[in-house]
Amino acid sequence: MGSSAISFEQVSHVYRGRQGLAFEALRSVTFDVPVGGSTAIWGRSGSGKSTLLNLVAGLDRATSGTVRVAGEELGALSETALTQWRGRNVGIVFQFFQLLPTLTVRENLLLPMEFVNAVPKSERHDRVDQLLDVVQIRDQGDKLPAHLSGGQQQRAAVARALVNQPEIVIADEPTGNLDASSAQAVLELFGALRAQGVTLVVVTHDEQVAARADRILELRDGQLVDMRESTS
Amino acid sequence: MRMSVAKAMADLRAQGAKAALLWLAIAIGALAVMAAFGARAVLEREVARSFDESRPAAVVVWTDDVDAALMKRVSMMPGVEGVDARRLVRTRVEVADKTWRSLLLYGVRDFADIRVSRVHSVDGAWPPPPGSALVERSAVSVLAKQTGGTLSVRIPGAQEPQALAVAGLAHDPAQAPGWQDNLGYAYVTPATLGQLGLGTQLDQLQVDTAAGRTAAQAVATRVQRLLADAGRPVLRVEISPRKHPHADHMRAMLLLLRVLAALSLLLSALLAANLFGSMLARQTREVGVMKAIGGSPARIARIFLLLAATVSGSAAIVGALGGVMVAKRFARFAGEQLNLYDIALSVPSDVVALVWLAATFVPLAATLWPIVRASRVNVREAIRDPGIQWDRAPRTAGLRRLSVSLRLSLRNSLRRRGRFVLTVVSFALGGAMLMAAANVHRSLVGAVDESVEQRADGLEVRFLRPASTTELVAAAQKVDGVQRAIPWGAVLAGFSLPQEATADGRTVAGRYGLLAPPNGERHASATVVQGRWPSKDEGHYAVRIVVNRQLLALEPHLRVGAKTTLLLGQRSTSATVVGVVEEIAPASAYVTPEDMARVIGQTQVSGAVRLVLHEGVSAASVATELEAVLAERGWFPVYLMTKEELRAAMVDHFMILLVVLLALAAAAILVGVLGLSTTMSINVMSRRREIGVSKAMGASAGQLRRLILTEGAVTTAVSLLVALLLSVPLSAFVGYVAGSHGLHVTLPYTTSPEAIVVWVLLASLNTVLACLGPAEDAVRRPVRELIAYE
Repeated sequence: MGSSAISFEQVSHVYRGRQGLAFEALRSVTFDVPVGGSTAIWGRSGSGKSTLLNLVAGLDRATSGTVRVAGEELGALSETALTQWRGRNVGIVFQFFQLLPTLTVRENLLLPMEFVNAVPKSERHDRVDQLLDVVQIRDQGDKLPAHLSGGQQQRAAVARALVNQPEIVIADEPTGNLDASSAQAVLELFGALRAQGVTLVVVTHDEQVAARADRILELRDGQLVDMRESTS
Repeated sequence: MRMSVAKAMADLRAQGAKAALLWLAIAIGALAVMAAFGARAVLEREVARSFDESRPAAVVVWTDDVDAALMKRVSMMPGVEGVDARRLVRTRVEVADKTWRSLLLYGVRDFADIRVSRVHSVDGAWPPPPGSALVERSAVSVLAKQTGGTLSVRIPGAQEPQALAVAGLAHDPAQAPGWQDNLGYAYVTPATLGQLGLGTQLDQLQVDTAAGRTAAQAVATRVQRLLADAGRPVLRVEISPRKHPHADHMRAMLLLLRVLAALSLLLSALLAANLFGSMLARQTREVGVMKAIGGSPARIARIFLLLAATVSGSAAIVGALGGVMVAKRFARFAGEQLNLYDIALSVPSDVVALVWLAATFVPLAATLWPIVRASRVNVREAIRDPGIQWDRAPRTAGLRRLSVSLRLSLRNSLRRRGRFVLTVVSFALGGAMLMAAANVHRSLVGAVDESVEQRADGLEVRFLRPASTTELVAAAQKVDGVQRAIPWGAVLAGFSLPQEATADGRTVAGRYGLLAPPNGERHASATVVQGRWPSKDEGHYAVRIVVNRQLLALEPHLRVGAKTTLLLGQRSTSATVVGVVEEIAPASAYVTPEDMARVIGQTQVSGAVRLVLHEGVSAASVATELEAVLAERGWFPVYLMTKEELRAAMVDHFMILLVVLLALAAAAILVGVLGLSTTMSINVMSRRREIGVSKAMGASAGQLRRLILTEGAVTTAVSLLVALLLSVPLSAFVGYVAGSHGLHVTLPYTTSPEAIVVWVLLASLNTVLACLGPAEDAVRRPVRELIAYE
């Protein structure tokens, strides 16, 4: 599988409340995710998996330790550089889709390209069509998110995560709000991404979803308690 | 209910910032309404009290000498409530080295027993000792003399000025402030009149009668009969309108204040609805939970209503108390403009209570719709409320050429249609009020400037009695700096009241300037609005007069076509009103020079001269030299004013309206800016999750700022457009009230580009500040926090 796409070394993260109360969400976590691999971060609610995902995506910063993703040490990047890095290297699929409600599906896909400016303007519409074909909702492209089913919205969210051709795609409970058939379709989509060499990190508390990954990292109370190859 | 109260209070604490803004919006509305209605209550009461306490004369009869026997006989007449005697002597007073002003010197029968047209002591001696005078307090700044000073007074017919000590200050509520008309008033005993060589006799019989014009007219008729029976002359009879000289100004100003205060209340109610709606939007999920555990819509509505009532009630109390203070300050200022003195500033408690109720319940009523909507929300939808939804079909046909981020900003601006409309309307109302205030301010000052600028002369002098035109012109043209002297006919004349009002046909309501512009000299500052300007060539029997609208307002019987009698001393001349003109001037009438000759019974004489000055010459220095020349020739000026002084006097007359307009503009800016900034902040805050998503997708800080600012700019731009549109009818209304009701002129519609620029700049700055604060906060926060935001 080659070199590491993601590398965590003794990473801890502490949340501080308004009255100074501290809560250690991650404790000295160390692991690597190889390039092109798929990894599931599995654990119960409150185990620290969302915190870990936020650190991988550069949505939050570690309190201590080193986080290296797509060749960059994220702690060393300024907020501006971190934003630019994230736009070019990471695609995020949120738990509640988080499509912008005032934009059509097509516009939701065009917006990240406009932000990052990595895809030439002349190619953007073709890229959107191509991705909508991949996620099989091209006919829904001119609709607002509110007019789509949950499964269709999640597919749109996946397509949006891919528009800037990121090396890494991170998904937070991607099937948590979907019915069984929609969840199956999304998981198949992730399978296709793996085939294209995209590094995939999925946060889930669903054992069946986790089992589809190459590797499973199990978190409990902020600690990495198990790291195993998937048997599926 | 105790838990409901606890819930309402907890909600208040949880949404502290919004609740504080809501409170502030309601408090400002309450303050504006209280200030307007409080000031109105104080002023109406105090004007009436002050005027009544002065016991103004309803009838004034001029005869040779009003003695005690005459006063006694008149006092026994039915309908007579008080009798006194007075005399007015028009003098000139030196206010600085060789600078003279008009001084109206009143001889008062007995300062210890003034029965009609009362004057009150302000400070110093009472009565003034022989050889001294009391100066009306509002004229102190004109005369530049305080108690203890000495007035140098020139009396008609006397060559040398005479000294008159200032023994104290007096207040005469029936006079307009001296500083407004640039003249002084002083009060002396008959003995002092005698010392000045004017004789001790008093020629005005002043009579207070029962209320109503009919009673006054009956008394006037009886007094005339009495004098005729006694073989005494009746030189003139006036029936006073018995209203304050600036009553029309005040009525217009108070009407404007009330209308504008009502607009402020409407603004604050709109703002309250907007803010409260956004507070409730944050609680949709809670409403769902409350319903799920058994809360009925009525009970939930009661909780929110309690919350709104707590905010509006407390804000209205504080706002109303602040408004009482503003009302007192404004009433004190307006009192100075109306020459009220020592006025009681207490605002009646019923007015305070009514304003508090209105300021509480109007915004509360405006919050009812958001409350009803929030309490009726469907439980399932409320619990899964993902925040703001948008399910309208996008109208993208015209937007395809725009970038997606610009489309996003545009649609976000319109996302909450109700909030957008409320924001636009409240901000636009503020802008429209500012623009209307500035437009009318500009119209007023512009009309004054135009009226003054249209005059070719730089100085005008009017005389007590007409003098030879040739001599006047020759003398005036010898004064250094005078290019040309234009003689005008000018006398003070009365118009007989309609025959059905008085049987004698010699009773007038007052005396006004009757002016005759020379043939060929167009009276440029007056515009004919009805009828025509008479020409010297047309054949006619009666004198043809043109009245200005100020005179028509005082003497409504002088409409076009009306026949009247012009009364000038013992002369009377039949006249027909042939036209009405509009101008910024005191009540006046105009005739041709030929008709003027018929009125005064003399030809080749003039009562006024207007002087055209050489360029660069100081009108003030010409006035000084002219005053000396006139004194030398024995011509006594009753009015001598430079163009600059005339302009200042005109603007002073409008000052109260100008201040009201400026106060209005300030209130508009405050409420409008508050409205826009709060709703914009709320808009940004309510979309922090989306900002987080954009940031997660790679939007840079600059891109996010642009997105948010563009969104704010859309709202601002629409508001500006609506404000411009709204300002047109609002300016027309304010201009109509200020012009027609207060000043009796039609103010031209004027646009103030400065106000538009100020509003655009303020709005832009406000948009940047309102959006950038929350935007910076959102940009700085980690994406995790933004996405977790509800």
